[in-house]
Amino acid sequence: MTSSVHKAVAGGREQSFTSPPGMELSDFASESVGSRLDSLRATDISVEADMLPSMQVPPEIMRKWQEIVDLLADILNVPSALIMRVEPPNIKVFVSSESKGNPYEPDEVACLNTGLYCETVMNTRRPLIVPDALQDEAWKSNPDIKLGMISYLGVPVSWPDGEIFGTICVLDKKSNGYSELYLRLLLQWRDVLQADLRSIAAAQREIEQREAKIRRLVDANIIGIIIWNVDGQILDANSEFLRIVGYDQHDLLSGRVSWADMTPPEWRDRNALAISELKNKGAVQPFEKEYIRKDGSRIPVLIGVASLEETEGQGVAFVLDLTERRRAEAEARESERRFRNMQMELAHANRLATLGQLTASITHEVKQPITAVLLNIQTAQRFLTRQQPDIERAKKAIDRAVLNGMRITEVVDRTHALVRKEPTRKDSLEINEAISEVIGLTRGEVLKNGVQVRTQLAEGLPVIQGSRVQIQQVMLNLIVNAVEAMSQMSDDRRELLISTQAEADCVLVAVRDSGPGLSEGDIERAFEAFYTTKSSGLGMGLSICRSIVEDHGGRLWAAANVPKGAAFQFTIPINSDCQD
Amino acid sequence: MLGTTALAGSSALPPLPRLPMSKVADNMERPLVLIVDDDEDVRSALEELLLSVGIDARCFGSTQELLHADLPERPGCLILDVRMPGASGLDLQQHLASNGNTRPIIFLTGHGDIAMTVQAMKAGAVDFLTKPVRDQTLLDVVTTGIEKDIAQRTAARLVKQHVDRYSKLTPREREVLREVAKGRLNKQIAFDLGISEITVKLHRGNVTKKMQATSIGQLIRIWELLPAEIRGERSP
Repeated sequence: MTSSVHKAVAGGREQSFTSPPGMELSDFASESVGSRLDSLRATDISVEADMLPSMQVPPEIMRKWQEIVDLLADILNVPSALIMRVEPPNIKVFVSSESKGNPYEPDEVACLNTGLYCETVMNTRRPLIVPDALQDEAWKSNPDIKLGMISYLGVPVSWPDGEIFGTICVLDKKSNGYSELYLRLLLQWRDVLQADLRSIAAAQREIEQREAKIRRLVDANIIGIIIWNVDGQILDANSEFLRIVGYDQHDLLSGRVSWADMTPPEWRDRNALAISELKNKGAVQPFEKEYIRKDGSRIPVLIGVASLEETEGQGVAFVLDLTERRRAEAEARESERRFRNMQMELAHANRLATLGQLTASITHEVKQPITAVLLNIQTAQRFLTRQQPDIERAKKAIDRAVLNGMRITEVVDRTHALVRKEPTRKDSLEINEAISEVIGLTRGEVLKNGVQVRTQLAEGLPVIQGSRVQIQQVMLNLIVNAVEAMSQMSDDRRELLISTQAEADCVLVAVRDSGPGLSEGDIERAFEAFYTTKSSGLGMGLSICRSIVEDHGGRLWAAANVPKGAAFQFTIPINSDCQD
Repeated sequence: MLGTTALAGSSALPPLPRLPMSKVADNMERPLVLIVDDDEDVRSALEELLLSVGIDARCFGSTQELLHADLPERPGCLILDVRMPGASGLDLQQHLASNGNTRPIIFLTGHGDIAMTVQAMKAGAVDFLTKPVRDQTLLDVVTTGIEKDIAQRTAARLVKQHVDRYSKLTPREREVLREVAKGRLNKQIAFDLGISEITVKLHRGNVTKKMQATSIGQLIRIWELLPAEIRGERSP
């Protein structure tokens, strides 16, 4: 790795001089070294920097090294003991002993290629002893003489990979022979230094590997990653983030990308909340927000934020593009909506069709109370227009008419509820009551077909959670189907038994008829859409009924009735919330 | 002016005091309308309407209920809903007819279909009304029904009287009566029966007296009112 040092040194020679190349060494004499180094510090250096020379030495090691140079200066009784570090094209006082008469300040830099003692040590990679430079032609004009340092003992210090780190050396203002013992001591310290450098390098490699991993993650562009500050700026971003918000690298470098500007007004409160959460906890639970893209459009994102420990007011954020997910969600919602709509339409069509079959029955159901109303009112008129009006009996007749009128309203409301097309609501309901209403509506149909209806509605059934209209629709279908099936028979007794009973966790409803019954195949296929044994009808009824019952968390099935006919049964789970 | 003209017969009846059934039942000639409808509201409205014009009514929820009831022998009619659970109104009509019950029947229906109407009318219904029905229409029909029943009952009583009297005739007198009714002369009757004309005249006088007829013409009308099985007695 010597070559790299040479290269660095060579680079330094070409570019780093602030003073003209022809400048005499004497010129330096009139200036303090400090100010000269300062002027050098401002130099724009574009030397390709290897990782090692830029590596930080941790403070605890710096303290140890300080102790070493202090001891060294004490033991050798010299004004200066130094650890120098090469930072091409300069060399820097890395650690300087805190000893009397030491002119070297830490962090001072000097140019290489100026004939420094250390330069020779680094180039030769060998220890160097200069007992008295003033007596030595080769060292007579080296820069350190200006500081009065005429003797020197130094050894090279290397990184574990052999690359030069710098030197450890002592300097004296007087002539000094430096015994071999001192050289051995110096070499010993050098070994200590090199052991430290090994551990630093190892730690560095680890960090590098970790960083490389992180870099790969960032560059993989699976999610957008940004470094941001509280002032609203985005300091760094990967290309996925830039893609999400539609900016480019140039925008980023010119500081035009600002998370504050990209946040729509309605999301600013949420943002403020996130920042306060960040202050308290150091991280923010991922939340969804929107960004305004460069083209003004909006983009939904999921963002997770963490603060960077070392840097106050900065943080890292992970940004996930939710566009695709939102689109998929919207599509799912839309198809769900369409499905619901279609189901609603079908259910409604089925209700209309079933009610259509019951028109005569419903008319009858309404005509009965209308007949009663008219009769009662006409009776009242008679009582009032008598020669001796009977007010009391007229009033009674009118009272009865009022009750009849309410009954009409009930029938009309019930029918209207079934005809209406609207999303169904699930309420707490008493199933017996709902079923009784349907039996009322189908009464005429049942009578017309000479069917005897028997009911066995269990008392004290638990309340269920369900849609009244839908449950009634199921009952309507089952009853009309049963009546229709029985009407095909010639002379047999036509019986319809409707029963309810409580089971462990549900209410069981059964509709049994004494009709021709279902064949094995019919039982299996009865619930398929468009399957019908009738000459009229779409064959959707039972299929719709089954989906209604299943939508309520129950089951609908068919079986043979005993001794004859078919039995359709369904369950509706008991709504535990409604129990007291 | 509801009901005052059309229901002249009924309004002529004194307004009924609200008496318990047992006391009303004493008056066996007071009409009683029987209502059979499975709808309670309709039933009670009908009953109250009839009561408002002074006609007694009794309600039944089904045909079975009516058949099992112990009914007083009072003139009147039946108001029947055609369509009821169990036996329908038409079934009841048939049942009553086959048992010789001649009470006139008025049908009420929520939905008159022609076939049903025809069937009911053929079987002798007084009328076939659709719900909702106008009070006056109903009362008119009820009046007609009651009058018809009263007429039927009067006729039946008369026939019964004639039959009773007829039963008191001797076989010879019956023979003479049949021959007289055929319009045969005394001479012919005497010849056919192998008796003298005088004897025929004697029988004839006895028959007229026993049957409480005042003339031969009336005797012949009474004969014609007698049930067919009596008239056909011992006929060739």
